[in-house]
Parts: sequence; structure tokens; C-alpha cells
Amino acid sequence: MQAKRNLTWRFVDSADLPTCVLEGIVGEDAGLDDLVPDIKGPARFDLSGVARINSTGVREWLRFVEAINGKGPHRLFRCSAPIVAQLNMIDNFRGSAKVESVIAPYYCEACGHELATEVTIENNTPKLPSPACAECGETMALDEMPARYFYFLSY
Amino acid sequence: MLKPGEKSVLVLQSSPKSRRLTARAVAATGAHCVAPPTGEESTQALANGPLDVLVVDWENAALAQQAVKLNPRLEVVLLTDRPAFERYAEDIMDLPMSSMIVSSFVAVPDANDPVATRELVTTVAKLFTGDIFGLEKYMGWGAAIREQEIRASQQAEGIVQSACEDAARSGMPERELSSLGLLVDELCTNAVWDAPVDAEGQPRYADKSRAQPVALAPNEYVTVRYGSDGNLFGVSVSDNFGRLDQDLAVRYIRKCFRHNDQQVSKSAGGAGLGLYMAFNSVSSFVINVDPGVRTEVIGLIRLGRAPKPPAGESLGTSRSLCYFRTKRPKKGE
Repeated sequence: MQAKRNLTWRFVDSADLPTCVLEGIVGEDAGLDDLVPDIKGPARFDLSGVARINSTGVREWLRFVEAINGKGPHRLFRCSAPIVAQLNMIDNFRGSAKVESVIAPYYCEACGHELATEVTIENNTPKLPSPACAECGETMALDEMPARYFYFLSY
Repeated sequence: MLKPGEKSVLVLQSSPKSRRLTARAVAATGAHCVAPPTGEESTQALANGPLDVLVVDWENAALAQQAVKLNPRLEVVLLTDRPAFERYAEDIMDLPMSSMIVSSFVAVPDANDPVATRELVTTVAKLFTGDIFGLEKYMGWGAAIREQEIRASQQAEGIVQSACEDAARSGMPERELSSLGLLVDELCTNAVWDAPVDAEGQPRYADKSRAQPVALAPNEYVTVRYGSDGNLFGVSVSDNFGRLDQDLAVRYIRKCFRHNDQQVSKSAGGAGLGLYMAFNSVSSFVINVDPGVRTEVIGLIRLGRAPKPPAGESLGTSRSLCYFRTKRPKKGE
């Protein structure tokens, strides 16, 4: 395990590919260069714990993606909302990696309860769940326009 | 006929509902407001002048180009809906406008958005008076604004955390907290590393790595203010240099509307994305500049939801980008 000021990562057991869990803030001091040697082949990255990625962090991430691209194909899963924002905005943010799932915001129109839940992506299409609200039992809906939140699937 | 000292506003909005709501908001500033219903009358009103502010929608944007040619001192406010903004963002950025307000209230029948209305009133009043600085202008009376000063770059992250804790206590949803964190992070980064220049006007820290700590000189201290009024959480970050001109701001913001390998600067220093990321994190983004003296960037995040249409597709959250510059009278004026 490598610890830096604002970003940490650890590898967890997985039956499939080596799985790396990233948590914290991706900034210029993220130290992702130190992670590159640990990626020896195709890997999965759990990005649900990435709370923020700032502008210099985007540049660090792109360098990281470029450095590991040849060892893929990699998979990104449980991408947090800040990661989804960058997927939608920045050219080549995921490199050649496939996005397996994202964390998406859900909202209950009846009582205002909010939920962040995992949405899987199959055949380049989000499989939107319809969870019941934990507060009032009504069906919750995605709190974003699908075309906007999943824009990265269109290019 | 204008009374002495009275300001004049022309509202060109295609939708009758939007026209009425817009004219009502503008009238709240005490201005003389004309909102003609037809294109012919609009052209006539433009020719009649004198005008201080023109409020147009996307459909009437071409008229704004003509009007500014006739009257270069005219202030233009674009008031449009989100679908038009997303579709025509790059063209919109080319307009000779001082402010852009993208709001559902101009597009949604039967929806009235008090937050957007207040922002329009504030925008027009700032253009009239030249009194441009201050987070308070966007917040309801009684809002407690906290102020902190950055004297060294390492303090910035503590202020990010502090603002997010205050916002969480104000009821900001979890998903918006990450946007707020990014906003404060980017605005502080710009103010600490990009704003300061030396006596020759050369940037002092812009080429340095953002991971390298910087201790600011007293004239470089950055002021961060934030607070909530129950509807909005607002943040302002000010520096003492006043170097963020409108063309530069628009250039940085617009480059992220297109996906290409030029988006991210690979040189030392910043990545060139900060302004766009800050803009993208908020519902309202305001840049106030007194050239050579002060820059204040304000970001506002809604604590609740913008009104949605009664049926059909959500128009998403409202959004605005406003640029204000202190005007100094020229010699002889």
C-alpha cells in the first residue's frame, strides 16, 4: 500500500483481475507515478472513493492512464460522481479502459431523500435501477438527465 | 421618455411568458424597461435608444451584435434556456455580452424561479451602478458570511474542508459537497499561483508546481468568503491583482466545450482547466474585476432544486456566467 498526502490506494483480492481501490483527492501531489510499476497487466480500478479530482489532478491522471494503457485492457468501476464529471469532460480520460459501472445520484420526488447507487453499464448502455426509497418506499429516479450523466458513452 | 438619470433597458425575449417575467425583474431595479412583442417593434426600439442594458434570448442574439456596433457602451445580458446553452455554447461565448444567465425560468411555462429572478435583478443593478464587488449581493439578507485569509498555499485545503463542513451543516446534499470542494480548491489555486505578478507584471508563481508550497507576500494574500442563505451556498475568492480579463476567462472556459488533446496544458504550472472546472461546479459563476487592483470570483451552488417543467424532460439546473469590470471614466468624461 502506498500512502500520499491526499490519495491512497490498495489492492484487494479479486477472483477476476487485480483490483486497485483508490481513495481521496487526486491533485498534483497524488503520486500516481508510484502506482505505475504495480500495474503489471490488465487491472480493475475501484474509483468510488475518489472524492475530488482537480485540474492538476486531471493532468496527473492522464499521465497515469498513458503510462498503463499498454498493459491493459483495464476496467474502471464504481466511478464516483467527480470521476464521471471528468469522463464527460476530458478527452481520453479513461484511455482504452472500459467503464463497468458508475455511482449515480438518485432522488425521491415524494420525500426528497437522496441516494448514491451503483449503475452498471452493459453493451455501452446504463442499466438504470429503480430503487425503493428507504424513507417513504416510493420509487426513486435518477437525479440527472441520462444523456447528460452518461454522455461519455456516446463517444 | 426617460426621467433624468433614469436607466433604460430593452428586453428582447421571444416567449411572452419569459418577456413578462424578465421585464418584471428588470423593473425592480427602477429602470425604464421596454419589452416589445414583435421583431419590428424590437428593431424600432433599438433604433430609438439611448439604451443602457439589452436583455436578449438566443433567438434575438443577432440583434445584440448590431446593437453593440451602434452603441459600444451597451451592456448585453443573454438570458436563455439550458438546451440552447448546451447546443450553442461556443457561439454564445462569441456574443458581445457581459453576462449570460441560463435559467429554466425563461423557458418553463408556469415556473417562476426566485433565485434566478434575484440574480437577474442583481446583474442589471450591478451594470447600472458599477458597484460590482461582494458576495452579499447574491445572498439573502441575514446570511452569515465567514471570511478567511490565505497567506500560504498549504492553508487552502483547510479552507476547502472548512467550507464543506459549513455547507454540510447548511444542508448541502452530499453530491454537491464534492462540487463545492472542487470550486474552492480551483479558485484558491488560481488566486494563489496564477494571480500574483511582480513589479514588472511578470507572474511570480504561475510556472511552479502546485505541489510546491508557496508563502505569499502580504500584498498577495487571498481572501476567501463563504456562507449560506438557505437557498444558495456562495463562495468568493479575491486577489489584489485584477488580471482576469473577460477574453482570458472565456478562452479558458470554452476550451472544455470541445474534446481534444489540447484541453490540458502539459507544461509546468497549472493544467489550464481550473476556471472551467470551477464554472462547471456551480449554478452561478461571477467574475468581478477592477483591472490591476482586484479580482473577485464568486461561485453559487443551489441547496435545493431549480423548478422543473410540469411534464417532459428536465431542463437541469440553471447556470450563469457573469463578468463585471469596474469602469473608470476616460479623460474629459
